[in-house]
Amino acid sequence: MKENNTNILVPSEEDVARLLSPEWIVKGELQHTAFILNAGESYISVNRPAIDSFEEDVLAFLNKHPYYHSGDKTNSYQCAILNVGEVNNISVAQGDTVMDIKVEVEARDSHTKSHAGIFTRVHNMNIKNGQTLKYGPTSEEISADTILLHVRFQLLALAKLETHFL
Amino acid sequence: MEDNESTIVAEPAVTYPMTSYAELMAYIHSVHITREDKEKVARRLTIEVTQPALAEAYERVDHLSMLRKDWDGYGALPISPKVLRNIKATLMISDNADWLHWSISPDSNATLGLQSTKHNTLISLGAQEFSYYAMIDGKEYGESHVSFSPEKLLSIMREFE
Repeated sequence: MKENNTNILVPSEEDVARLLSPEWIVKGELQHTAFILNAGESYISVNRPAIDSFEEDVLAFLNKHPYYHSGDKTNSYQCAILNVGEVNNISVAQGDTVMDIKVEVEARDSHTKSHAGIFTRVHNMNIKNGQTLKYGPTSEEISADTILLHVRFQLLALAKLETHFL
Repeated sequence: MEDNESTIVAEPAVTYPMTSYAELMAYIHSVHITREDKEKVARRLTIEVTQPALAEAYERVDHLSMLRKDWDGYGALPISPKVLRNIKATLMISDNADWLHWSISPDSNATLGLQSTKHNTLISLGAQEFSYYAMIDGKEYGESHVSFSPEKLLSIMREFE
């Protein structure tokens, strides 16, 4: 079900940043596990550098989770930068047919102003890990995990790994 | 009176780290553990000396097995013991060459992700099954909910390295 929130889509020209646990970077390479939906959740948390409170919000997160600091440098952190327009262009095909799947970035500013979420939607419904979906005219069953794995592959390809200093 | 017995400690025959198979075997024979444990230690140390990529994968799994709840700050679960057993079973039948281009990372849902640095093939490894996705030369490959066996996972890793 589509969750009731502000439902404000982030403009396509904006970038969003996924803060990265050091576990998601192996030998300097970003890992796809950085873009996995937590159980029961329907979006991947990101922050919007275009919002005034971005640095303040990141700092608050890092203070709460100090292991997000990059290596032994306590004044830095790593993040995956994604352009919203490119994320919106992600598509998933089933055979030769492109599925009606949208990957959208929506503001989630109820807790922190710069917070946003990357949602994967089938027929405008949020999908989560473990779901079985009925798709197409024959209501063919398709695993949400399959769709999310395709989306993850594309998010990984689009992401730019950056180190930021506070 | 000095207690000589308390100072007697089994010294390893060689100093760690070792760089040769002979040194390794000498070390294993010098420690006082069961035969079964010696075999495990022998395999692991042999790998460490002779198969660096495989050894690195073992070390990575050791590290990931120690992650605690909320390791990602978003409520992540520790890696499931069954998933750890699966990846270790795969390592047990692997060669060094199998791990030259693969990395292992934790998934917040208690499973593991594998990723090929060569083709960006992704594998999601769970307790009972695994899924994979690869795009090689513009062609998509993938399957979801494949019943896990170490042989099956390794064959996919070799095919889509």
